[in-house]
Amino acid sequence: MSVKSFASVALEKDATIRTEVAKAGLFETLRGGLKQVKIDGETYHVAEGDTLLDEDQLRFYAFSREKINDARRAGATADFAGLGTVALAEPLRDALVAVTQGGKIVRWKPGVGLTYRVVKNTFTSAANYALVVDQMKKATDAWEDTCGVDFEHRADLDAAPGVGPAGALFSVRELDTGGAFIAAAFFPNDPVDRRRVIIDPSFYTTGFDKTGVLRHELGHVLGFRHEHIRSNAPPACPDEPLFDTANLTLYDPQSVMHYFCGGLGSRELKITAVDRRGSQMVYGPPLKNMLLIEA
Amino acid sequence: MNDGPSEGGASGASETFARRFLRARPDVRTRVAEDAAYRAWLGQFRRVEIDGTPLYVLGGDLLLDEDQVALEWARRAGMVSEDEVDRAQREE
Repeated sequence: MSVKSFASVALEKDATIRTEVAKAGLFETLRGGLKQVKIDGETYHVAEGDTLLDEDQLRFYAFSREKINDARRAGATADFAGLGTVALAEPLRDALVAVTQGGKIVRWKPGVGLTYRVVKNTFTSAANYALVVDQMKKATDAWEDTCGVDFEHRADLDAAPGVGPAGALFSVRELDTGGAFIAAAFFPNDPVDRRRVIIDPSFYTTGFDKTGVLRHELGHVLGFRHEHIRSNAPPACPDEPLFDTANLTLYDPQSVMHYFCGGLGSRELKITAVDRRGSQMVYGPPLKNMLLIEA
Repeated sequence: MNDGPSEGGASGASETFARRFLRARPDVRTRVAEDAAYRAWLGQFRRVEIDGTPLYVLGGDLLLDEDQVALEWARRAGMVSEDEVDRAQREE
């Protein structure tokens, strides 16, 4: 005879819980939609890729997911109406934020070379081109010192025609957007034709550390979202997409991924110890710390 | 992503998940387009055009196309459930 899960025991013993959990309409959707597996005679529903839930556990899971989704929507709606809130004394919770898709953390496949070209013909001056080449080197070195990624500047492609990657993984180019942003990048799961780091001319006069700006943008290239989308972040931080994220570490207002807003964040945009831990959860330790053996 | 998972991973896609999702759910696209609150929300963001594609700047440096902002709004407004989006993403 199998041992009952805590969920089953809770449902048996507490009528109030049983009534509350039974209200979750999501339960039927999940029960019909999730894969099922049979292990040692017991049937489990497979949630989030690898979490096996019995039927009673699934009821609790559905109940909590519904409440989380409702809370998110309520928060977004309230924020839109100027009534958003943030706790000032909430205990620190998990941080560096990863992009997810289908419940999985998005990252570059191991072995994908993170090559880039700096598109010379897009820069308004040779000096600006040289500056960006130099700053990109510093920013990529910083990430290579942090976690298991390997960037390569394909300088041989910098003079290639067009503005696309031209054989590299992504391009770095200057584009005047009228100061819509200082720089912008892309996520690993963005369409191929968006694999570009865009440098607005405001980059050259920004009060932010220029290498820090590129460290931040390369964080996006690696699959990290903004730290300040977390519920602990001040409401003054810019409105942005709320979904498809996973928290990797403790909230870190000094994170390289935290905007300088609401009195938090840093103009230096340095990679912190928390960023290091979070990024290593996804990409492992720096490659230079390893002896890599060929097949 | 993607054209379906390849060995150990997905290949780069030529269009966004949001476009594929809304193509399968034209009713959602219509509801969003008709929502005055959506238009008001969208109006606060800078709009830029890069390589011929109009993009909205959210969060300071995140560039979203029209499908992506529409889907973001649909999720915020509860026009689509998270599980529906999750299921669609997993099926890719």
